[in-house]
Amino acid sequence: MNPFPRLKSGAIAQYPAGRRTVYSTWVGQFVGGGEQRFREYPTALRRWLIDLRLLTSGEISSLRMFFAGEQGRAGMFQFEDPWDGTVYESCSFESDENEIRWEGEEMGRTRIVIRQNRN
Amino acid sequence: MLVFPQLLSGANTQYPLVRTDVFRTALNSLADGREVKYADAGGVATRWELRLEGLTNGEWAEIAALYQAVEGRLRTFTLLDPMSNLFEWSEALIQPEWMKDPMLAVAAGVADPFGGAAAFQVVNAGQADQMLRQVIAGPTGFQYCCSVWARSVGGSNLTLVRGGERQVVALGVDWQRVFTSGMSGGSGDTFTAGFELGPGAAVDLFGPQLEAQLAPGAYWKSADHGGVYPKVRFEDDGLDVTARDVQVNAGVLRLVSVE
Repeated sequence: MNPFPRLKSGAIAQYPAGRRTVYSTWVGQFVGGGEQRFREYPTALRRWLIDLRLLTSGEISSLRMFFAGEQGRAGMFQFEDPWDGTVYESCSFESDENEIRWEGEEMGRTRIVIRQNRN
Repeated sequence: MLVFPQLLSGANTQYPLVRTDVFRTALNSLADGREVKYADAGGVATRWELRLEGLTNGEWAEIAALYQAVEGRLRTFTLLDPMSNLFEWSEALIQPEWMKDPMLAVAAGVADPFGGAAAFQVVNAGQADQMLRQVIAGPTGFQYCCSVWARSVGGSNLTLVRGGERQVVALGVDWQRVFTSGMSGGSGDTFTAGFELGPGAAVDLFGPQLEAQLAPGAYWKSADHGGVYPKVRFEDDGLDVTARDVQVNAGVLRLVSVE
């Protein structure tokens, strides 16, 4: 799979960067106040918030073309966790929309959420 | 042809500018976290949010006239995207969108000014001037700027072509970004720009860019879609303007392309 594009610096993310570990639990509540819980996800899934600022037009072009190539959240790509370097082979964009804010010459900004897929 | 107007500066927008690429995916989420997904090619759209400040009454009147002509959200107009290169395939001069005169030879894989290998060598092996050009579906009478990084080991000249205007530039062995800018006369629905080489000339070119503004801006790599969007609508049926002072108007416009 295609790797998520890196910035000119070679980095994938900038500070502040966010990472979330996601489980899914089914919770049944009884009239008497008791609960029953079931594990829905066999393992946790990761999500990353990539908040990028001061991007050049080249970096923005690269991200835009990658997003278009993936057709938004439909595609799957390889993503290296910027926190620990683990490579996740199947990830997707969380959203079908990619907003680019151009705040000045060579001052692009975007926020991307990437999620790990369950295979 | 209805076109989003240029401001007095020659640009058609100001900072900050927001552009959103939109896709649509049919998605079925399963309980264990797996997903079944299909891309819907019919759901592709591009949105812009233009925040305009300090516009003169004349500038705002042109926008209002366009708004009236298209009757709000009803009809479409052409937008020259300020965050795109109006040329298609800016790093693939061998694509058919680049019209080459017959004696021009174009070779890819030449070292570019930014450490890559995305430049092209263009050689005119003929006895007459030969041109490499594109025709875009933009209005003829707009302000345009045509630029390219160029060099020539042999000291050839390069002629920048912008509509009916020609500007000859002497090239050296070092890369330089050369450009021609101005407003062409006449009216029409197409605009031609490109590069002309004299007999025997050999030049290296990288990053040709056409923009609807006064001077070359940041370089935008383009592929199969340039910055001309012929089916753009206003997203709102109301057009609000705020007069902050005499001849100082402001407004926020939301546009969407639904090609």
